[in-house]
Amino acid sequence: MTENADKRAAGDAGGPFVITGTDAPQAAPYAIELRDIVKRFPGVVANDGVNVAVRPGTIHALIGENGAGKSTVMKILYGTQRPDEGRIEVNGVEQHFKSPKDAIAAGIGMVFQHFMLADNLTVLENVILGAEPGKGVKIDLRSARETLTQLAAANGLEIDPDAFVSELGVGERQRVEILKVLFRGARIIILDEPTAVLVPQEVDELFVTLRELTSTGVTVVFISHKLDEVLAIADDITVIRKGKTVATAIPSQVTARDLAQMMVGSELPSAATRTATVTDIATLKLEGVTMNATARGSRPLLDNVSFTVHQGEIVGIAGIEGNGQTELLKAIIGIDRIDGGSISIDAHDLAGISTSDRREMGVGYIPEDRQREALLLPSPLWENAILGHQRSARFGKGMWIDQAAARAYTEQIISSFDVRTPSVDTISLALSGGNQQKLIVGREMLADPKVLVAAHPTRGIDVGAQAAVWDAIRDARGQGLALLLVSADLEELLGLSDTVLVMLRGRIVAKLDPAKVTKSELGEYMTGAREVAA
Amino acid sequence: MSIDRKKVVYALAAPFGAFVLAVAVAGLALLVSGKNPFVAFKQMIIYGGTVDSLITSINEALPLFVSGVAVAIGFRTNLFNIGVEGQYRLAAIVAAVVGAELPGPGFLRIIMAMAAAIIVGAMYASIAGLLKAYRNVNEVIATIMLNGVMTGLVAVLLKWDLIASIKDQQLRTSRLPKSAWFPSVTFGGSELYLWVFVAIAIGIGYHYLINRSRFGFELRASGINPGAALAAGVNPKRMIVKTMALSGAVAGLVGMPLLLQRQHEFTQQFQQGLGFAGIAVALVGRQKAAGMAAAALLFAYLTRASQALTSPPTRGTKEIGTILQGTMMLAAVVAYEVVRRRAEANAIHEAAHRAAVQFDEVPA
Repeated sequence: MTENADKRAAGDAGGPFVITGTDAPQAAPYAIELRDIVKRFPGVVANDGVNVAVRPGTIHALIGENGAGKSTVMKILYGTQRPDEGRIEVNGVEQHFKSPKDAIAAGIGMVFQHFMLADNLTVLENVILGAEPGKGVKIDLRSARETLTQLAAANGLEIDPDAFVSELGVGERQRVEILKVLFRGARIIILDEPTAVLVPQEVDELFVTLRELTSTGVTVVFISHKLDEVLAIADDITVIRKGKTVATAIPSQVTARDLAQMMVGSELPSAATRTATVTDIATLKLEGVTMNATARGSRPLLDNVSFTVHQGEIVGIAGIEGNGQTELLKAIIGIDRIDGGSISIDAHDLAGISTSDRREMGVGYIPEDRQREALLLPSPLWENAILGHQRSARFGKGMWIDQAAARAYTEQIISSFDVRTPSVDTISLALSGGNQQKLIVGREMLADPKVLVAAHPTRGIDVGAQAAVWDAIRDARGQGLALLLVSADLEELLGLSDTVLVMLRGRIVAKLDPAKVTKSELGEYMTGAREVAA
Repeated sequence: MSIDRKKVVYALAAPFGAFVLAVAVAGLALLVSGKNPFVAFKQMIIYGGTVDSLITSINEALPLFVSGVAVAIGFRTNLFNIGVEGQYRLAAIVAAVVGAELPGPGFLRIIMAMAAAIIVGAMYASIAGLLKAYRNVNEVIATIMLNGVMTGLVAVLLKWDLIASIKDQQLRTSRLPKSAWFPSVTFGGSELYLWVFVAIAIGIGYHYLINRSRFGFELRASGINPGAALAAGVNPKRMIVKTMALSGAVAGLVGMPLLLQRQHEFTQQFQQGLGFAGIAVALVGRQKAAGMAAAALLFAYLTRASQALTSPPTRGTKEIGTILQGTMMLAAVVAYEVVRRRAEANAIHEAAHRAAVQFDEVPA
């Protein structure tokens, strides 16, 4: 670390916005107190002096960059990992969790970012699954239903116990997850990035729920890296950086910028694009694109979608997941067939043109699901780096692949996008999700595409690397890239896009100017609460 | 280079361990049947070490190796071609007829016979490939069924008097003329099939095609992650058909060293089971050309050396060879998986370490 950084770190610790809440006199014991937690993995120290004190009945936010050690803290609290050093106290009693069972017994419940619900069961069945009340083989459904109804009413988590989970929206599913842990007797709930999957309106609802929970004495630990949300909901904030808790704060005395500095020791990067580079040359053009549903009678996956992405333009697609964005991207790259309308690039109709030919025409693709669509996990990075470009003249002549060229290309990606890897021969499985993502973004960007269709290009990567990706996107746009961007990160979407389109149930329902629309307005369009003529 | 040494150790530890375990299990089997395992192994080593045995082992390894390559091509893209058995036998009878009946000089007959074998093997395997790609029929089921169909087809073809007749109480195709016998060299009274060079060429071709070519890259990508291959522009249906055809083409050649160097005709007794043995070779050899060559040689050697157990004092225990082969295959597959996981964990650890180190180096 540089000298400056040391000073900055020291400045953080003693800065004006740091409230040493942990030293304040406290009547009741802390709901959770972690003292000097150290957790080492071979060669890496994941937690190196973590101190967290959570006051009972409050919402405590734990923030930090990806890889800062948040998830290790969480695992230690939930008993899936045991600290090498340090002390865990729950309600003033020292605990040695050997498994999540012990944590549950101590009243700690966990709501994971990815829901663990059985779609084909009802809410009630999901809630009792694994903790069925009753004697012997008979489940006492009646008492379970009573308990659930009481819990739901007491905590403002209204939900129909007999609804099938498959019929529920994302926000409702999250409520079921919370009810699940409450049903198991949890009085301390850990939420891992709970807002990642929600639209702004659902986030507001979640926050109301959390407030009601704390009013009944439940303690909430809220893990996040979305600073605005943390400031809106938390009573106390603990910042983790490089495995250490570097500061504690209370929201009324800090700004998002302050928190960002504490988290990364640098300024928040901005997604905002500077100057307009949009030309009037239509590069990617969709006209009346329709894709029928796989099941008969359902609504079409894509319904009469028309728009144009010009050379040097970034068109953002906003929408709740599952409203046709995935299908739209797959139709453009040629994985899924369209049933009506046309897609063209530079006025060439793409009908009947294979994915590999589209790629050779200069269409890049950053898929939504990197594990399933973008990577060969057991293969070395250099093979992953040419995947999708394996037929390009750049990587060989005739039928052979030029390994030296592929390796050089990989090195270029590694240095341009800060992919942290021992070598180009490392298997991609070994990299963290963020580094895998950087590799994928790098291989598509450095191939100089004419058109790039990208889903969540910065999902899961650090603030610093995110800025690098945004820079690369801006540069490419300046050089004439036509980018179709799907992102759940509304800040990114509004910051980068020249035009924002909203997708709902397979249709484009709004065309908006990102400079003039707020996040919450966008959220209303996304849920269908607000409508305009597109 | 400590990393390289580590890699070599990883690569060799598993097959070596499997071999030791196989010897232990075989020894136990001998003990149970009241024979002295040390005497038996000594007999095997002495008999297996003769020049005649060594050359025979090489000759016998040729079809095993080619069969292994055929199976391995399928494995690399996640297709299990159990039909090598049917493909090579059908190819062999057609090749025998082509080589014997078509006019022309000897070398041309050899080329025509091998070409016929490749085409028949590829076409027969393609049936399973097309069914899989366009009708979603599991290729394992399809190829097993096609093996059954082959048995019938071969029987019918042998009854057809245009191409086969009864000689010495057996249905046979016409004999290939001597000029169409593949050349061999003699060492100490034993013939070494020069078809070994064709096998080597197949091995080299396989290695480069799979590991160095664009086609091989796409083939492997489809095997590792069909979704990613699709997104990268690989047509999965066409890849299935192509891979099955290629696997079948190589399978067609399995019977060629037998036809062109030993039998010179096709009979109902034409060696069976080579297609299934190829699965074991591909597994033990980890679908690597050199690995499969070593596995084929070892299997052929074990078969040959266990012939020693037909004479006293250990008479009646020659199935020890089969026990050795079977145990080795099972143990090797398990051991490879263990080693693979170790290597994977190592790589993850190394990458995490690297990321952490760089994290500290990043200027704030």
